[in-house]
Amino acid sequence: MSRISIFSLLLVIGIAFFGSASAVLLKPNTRAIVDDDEILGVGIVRPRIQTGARLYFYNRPQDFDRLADMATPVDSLVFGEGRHHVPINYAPPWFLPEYMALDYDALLLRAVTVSRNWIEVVVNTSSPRPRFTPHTFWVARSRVELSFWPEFLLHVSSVEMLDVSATPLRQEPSDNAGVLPFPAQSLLRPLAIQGYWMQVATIDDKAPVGWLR
Amino acid sequence: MFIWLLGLILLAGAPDPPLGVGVVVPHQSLDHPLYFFDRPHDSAWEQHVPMDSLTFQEGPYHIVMDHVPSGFAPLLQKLDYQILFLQAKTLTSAGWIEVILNQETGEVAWVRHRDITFSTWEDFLLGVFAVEILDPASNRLVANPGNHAADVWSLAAERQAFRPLAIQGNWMRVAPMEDGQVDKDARRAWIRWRDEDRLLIQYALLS
Repeated sequence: MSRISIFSLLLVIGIAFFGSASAVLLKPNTRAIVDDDEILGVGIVRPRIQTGARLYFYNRPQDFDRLADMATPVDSLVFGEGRHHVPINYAPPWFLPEYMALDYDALLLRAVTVSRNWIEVVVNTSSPRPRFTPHTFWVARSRVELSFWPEFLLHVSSVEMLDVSATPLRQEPSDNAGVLPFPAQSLLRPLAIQGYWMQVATIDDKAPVGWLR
Repeated sequence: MFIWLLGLILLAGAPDPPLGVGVVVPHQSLDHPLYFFDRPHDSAWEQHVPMDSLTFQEGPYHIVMDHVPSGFAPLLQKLDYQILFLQAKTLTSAGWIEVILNQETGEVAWVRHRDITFSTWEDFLLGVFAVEILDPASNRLVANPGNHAADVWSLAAERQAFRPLAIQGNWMRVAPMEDGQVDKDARRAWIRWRDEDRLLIQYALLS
């Protein structure tokens, strides 16, 4: 098996994604090595942000086919009521999600593991993580919206490579394809995804410029 | 093999073309053909002429295909169970999906996302009835997802069918099956379900 090189992306999520006029930055710890699957996970989870809504956190289910309604949660996230946006009324002390900007209705959790009824999410992204701080818990899949990485990445405003030398721009989605010069503009727009490859264009041009891992 | 699966089994191996991004299910509608295009178009979809189409008609017992593109050989086809899957090769941000029309030749065409139902490989595989490891010698049953995890020795080699429970990256948590049922007493394990270009398992859609 050909080893996957670094799939390192700095995601900049902007107007199209959150309906905001100013771009917001998703933390660069989206960096991951595909072979180290427990870091990359499967995608991104968005809880339903509604006044009064609760997102329950569970320990790993004993029975993956069992519905979350039949399990006992260990803690929860509770949304309240605000003047301009839906705030969080209560969050566990360890809650430090992938990205949170509630004034943009944005709360993203990294999905590590997915099953039919459950999703394991990262609840504390600090590194190093304090002792006794949990890393992941499980949530009911029916209570969140899951976007697998291809779907999520195709709808971000732009991406930027973290290590251009390790992941060159190529003519085709193949390690054997010719290498292209990187455009001067570092922010790139995702156009398509094929396997581990992403076709990109520059921000202000529709024409594809090449493929990246 | 799944000797306990009688008649209804649909066992599919690793597709020959690159794995791509998932699986496409055409809407089996008598009124709406599935149009195939030679390339994704930027805008005004209706202004572009499709290169071919897939149409359905009423059969004696179920909907059957009426017109299919020449050489049409999809990933899975069993219309008496309303099963018709095409492999999705490329997903675009503009609402187009490149699908494989012929699994043998790798011939492709583009369809509009709105005309089909798309599932990632993860979601598709979590919905199948059972999976089987293609090469048990190299794809070991391990206690945790990771190449350095300990083997799950309690799962004997004769256990060949597994129920997919969860997916984490390239790893799948599975439960051993016995006579078509999950063995509730057997230990769960993790296997690799894919590498970069191939499935490392085959799957059975039906019991």
